[in-house]
Amino acid sequence: MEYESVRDWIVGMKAGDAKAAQKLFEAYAPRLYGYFYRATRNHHQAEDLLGETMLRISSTIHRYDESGRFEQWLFRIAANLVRDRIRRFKTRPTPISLSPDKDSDDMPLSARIADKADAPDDRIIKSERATQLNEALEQLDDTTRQMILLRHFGQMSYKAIAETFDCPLGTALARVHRGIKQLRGLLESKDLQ
Amino acid sequence: MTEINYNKLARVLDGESIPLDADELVVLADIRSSEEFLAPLSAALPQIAHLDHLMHKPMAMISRKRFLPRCVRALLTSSSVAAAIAIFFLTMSVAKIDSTTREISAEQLWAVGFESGLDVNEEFDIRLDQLASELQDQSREITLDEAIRPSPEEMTLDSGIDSIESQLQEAWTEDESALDGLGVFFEDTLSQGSTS
Repeated sequence: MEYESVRDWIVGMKAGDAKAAQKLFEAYAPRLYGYFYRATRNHHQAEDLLGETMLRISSTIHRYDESGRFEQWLFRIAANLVRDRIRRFKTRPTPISLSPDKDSDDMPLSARIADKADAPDDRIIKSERATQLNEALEQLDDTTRQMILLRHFGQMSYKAIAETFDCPLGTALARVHRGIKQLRGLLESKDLQ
Repeated sequence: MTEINYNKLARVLDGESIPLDADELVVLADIRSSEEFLAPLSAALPQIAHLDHLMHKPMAMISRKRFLPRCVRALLTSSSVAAAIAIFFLTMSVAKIDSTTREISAEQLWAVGFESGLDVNEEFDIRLDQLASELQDQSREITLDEAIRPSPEEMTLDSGIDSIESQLQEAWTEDESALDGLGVFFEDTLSQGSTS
């Protein structure tokens, strides 16, 4: 991703250029979506959050002062939206879709295969590994899980993660490191079964 | 091994040049390889809708809060289906949706209309597929594209709209889970409408 392009898109978006906004969204949407999907494990929620993030960026882009990295600013907004959604769904009953199948996270294997260049066996292995990793992530506490996902998808610095979660810098890294160790342990014990 | 200085290691990972001792280098290498361990997270994601689709996704899903003033304005211009949408919206805020039937009778809508004090002066028989196709037509008016540049008329509301809008906003905050269900419901209804 060329920085010049990103900067141009940001400038364009601040000036109300919808094409520039679309360019910016297209550039970051896959990573944002990946983060939302892993954070919520729900395709519809992930798309919904993606839409909300886009709207939030549209209305607050004037606040981005271009001194820090744009993607860190972007993923901080995304993290806050995820946190709000998790908090909201913990205190309210879960809405029930009239078509339960549409909200199901059971995507057919073919739909879950992202990399069509892989050989079929490789794809299956990747898919299973992703599923195992996702299940193991569920065993972590919310904050640690979010920090790990932001580091992976948002490529956020530990400083930015610490600021987002309002904790000391060392604590942010310690949580991510211990969280990943825990994930490894969980996957290894699964492999042994 | 002495206690790990995570603060120092975090600064190195964030790009600072700080000398590390042998033990710290071992931990740093372990952290870096741990991050590679997460690579499968980016694999096997469901395919996200093409962004064009998302940019033009029906307003109920990506712009619910903008649906509100549009709904109110449509009601005040006495468009029958638009009025039905507004009334249906109100209905959702005061009652749970009946999941066994997808038909909303005119009587139900009239009843809610009268109870809410709205001036509904056209008789109509709303079948959800008709509602869906008309809603889909209206939904083209509100897209993310438009949301980025709100029209001047959207930015000002007269006092009549303000009054009704604030009533609907109260209903919104009281029963947001029902309105989340509404979003899903509209999406389902629209996909039926688009195939009919």
